[in-house]
Amino acid sequence: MTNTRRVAIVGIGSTAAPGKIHPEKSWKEIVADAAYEAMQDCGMKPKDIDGACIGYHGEGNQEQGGIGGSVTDLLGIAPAPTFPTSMNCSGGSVSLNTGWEMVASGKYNHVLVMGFDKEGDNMAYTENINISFDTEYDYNFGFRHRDGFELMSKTYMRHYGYKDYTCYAAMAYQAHWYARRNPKATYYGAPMPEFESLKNANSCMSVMGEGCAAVILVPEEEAYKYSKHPVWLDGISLSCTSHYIAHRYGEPPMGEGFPKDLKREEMYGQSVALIDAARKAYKQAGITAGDIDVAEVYDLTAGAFWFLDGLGITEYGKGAQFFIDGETAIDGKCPVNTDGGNIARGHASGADGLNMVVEGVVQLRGEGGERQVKDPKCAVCACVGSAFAHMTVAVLTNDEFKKNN
Amino acid sequence: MSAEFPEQIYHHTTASVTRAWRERRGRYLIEGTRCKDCGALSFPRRTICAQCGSRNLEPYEHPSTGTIIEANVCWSSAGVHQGYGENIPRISTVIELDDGVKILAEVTDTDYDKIVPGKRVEMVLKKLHRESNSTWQYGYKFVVTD
Repeated sequence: MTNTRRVAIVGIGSTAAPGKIHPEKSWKEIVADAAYEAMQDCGMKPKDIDGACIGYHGEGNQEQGGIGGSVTDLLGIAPAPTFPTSMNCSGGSVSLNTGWEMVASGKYNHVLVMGFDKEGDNMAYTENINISFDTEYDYNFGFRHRDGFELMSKTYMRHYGYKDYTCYAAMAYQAHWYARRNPKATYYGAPMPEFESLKNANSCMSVMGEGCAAVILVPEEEAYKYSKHPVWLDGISLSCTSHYIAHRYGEPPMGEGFPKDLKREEMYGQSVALIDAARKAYKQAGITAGDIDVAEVYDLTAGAFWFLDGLGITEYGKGAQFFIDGETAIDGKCPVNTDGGNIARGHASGADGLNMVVEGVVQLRGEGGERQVKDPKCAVCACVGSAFAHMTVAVLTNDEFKKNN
Repeated sequence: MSAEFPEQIYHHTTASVTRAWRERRGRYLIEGTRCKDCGALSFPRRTICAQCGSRNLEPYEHPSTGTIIEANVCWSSAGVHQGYGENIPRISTVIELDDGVKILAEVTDTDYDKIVPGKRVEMVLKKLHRESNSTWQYGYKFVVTD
């Protein structure tokens, strides 16, 4: 990228147990909890923040619209602006995209990026989460984006020859293993499930709840002022396509021959928008899939499988086998979802994309404790919004990465 | 109907009846659009062709028969299924209509073991749920004809 500044992540914060409802706290309190943890992490005060952005699932889900002003006020950062995005589960990571642009452009210097969800305040939650995709047709016929995930999972498993749910059990068990070593995970401290009990279609469902995650971005020249171990946000991209679930079969909204060089006949239950987002983020960061030491992906039903395929970590159709073979374990080829993922860390929709980034930073700083991957240099965080309507990919690196390449 | 609510929960904040009226031909007839410049077919209806970018589109009634290409019968009543009441299991299928266009639809009045890829289906018009002003809404579902 020419004429843009390199962007560093210097502060991280997140609320614990994002897979639980926290009735004692309002959405403003959970946002403040994560934001102030991030400021504390890098030694900033609210008045140091000169711009903010926040992602959430959507106004219907939160019963709070036009939140920019409210967020600025609750954080005590006025008159700094807060730019909101409402992009379903990818809200936090789309917000990160905005934050990167705010710093890279040179207009802002200390940007607080947040993503949150507070679903429990909403009585008609099912109703409102379902308006986050095609509302002219799918929603009015009673479909939810989970239907899209389940249909795509069936297509993936049938075409690539996965006859039972062993791959689901492998993915879920792995997630639970990591979560037992992450004090902020929803299932931290809970007993491990039996492997055999996870061999079913429901073992890879998100454990949904409420929470907030936050990171602080600064330009390169200020990185070491605020952090001993800045993590570089070297690549970030968002690719969008249609919300209509049936469009996942052939992707007509993307036009003929898109993305380039892909053989459609090899791709069953894959997300074309993810592949596009990954290519753009890798190009920006100057990495290849082989450089990835740890990956954070969106695990719902077979989601993590097509994420591994789409990110190029595995060949098409091999993502599920990668879990079965244990390559996503802490000593495997590419550890995946080292915080426990949606399955066991917990899924607070709008915070999800940023919770992934927070874990990426923890790993690259070497602060993972019991779940620390050995000497990671490059982490990739990929998130989905709705049923693959918007896909984000972020590439994080630390200083070790520069030295070795 | 669920115990908690007199009607299925997905009625409760349904958008205006005007919106349903505007989409009536799509919902009753599976009417989408055809691009007059490149011939691309689309459902739901579009205002700009995704293939060639043209705005020269015309209404196009898709065939009412097709083939199931993916099907899911979900018996879970937890999480985002809360409030679906007697509408469990949730049946979702992707159907390739005979002109090649894909549509997401529910298969109804059919034994579960027949709701699998490869089966031929035909559209039927069904009563769905009430709009916010209590008007009943109708729309397409499909039955297996094999």
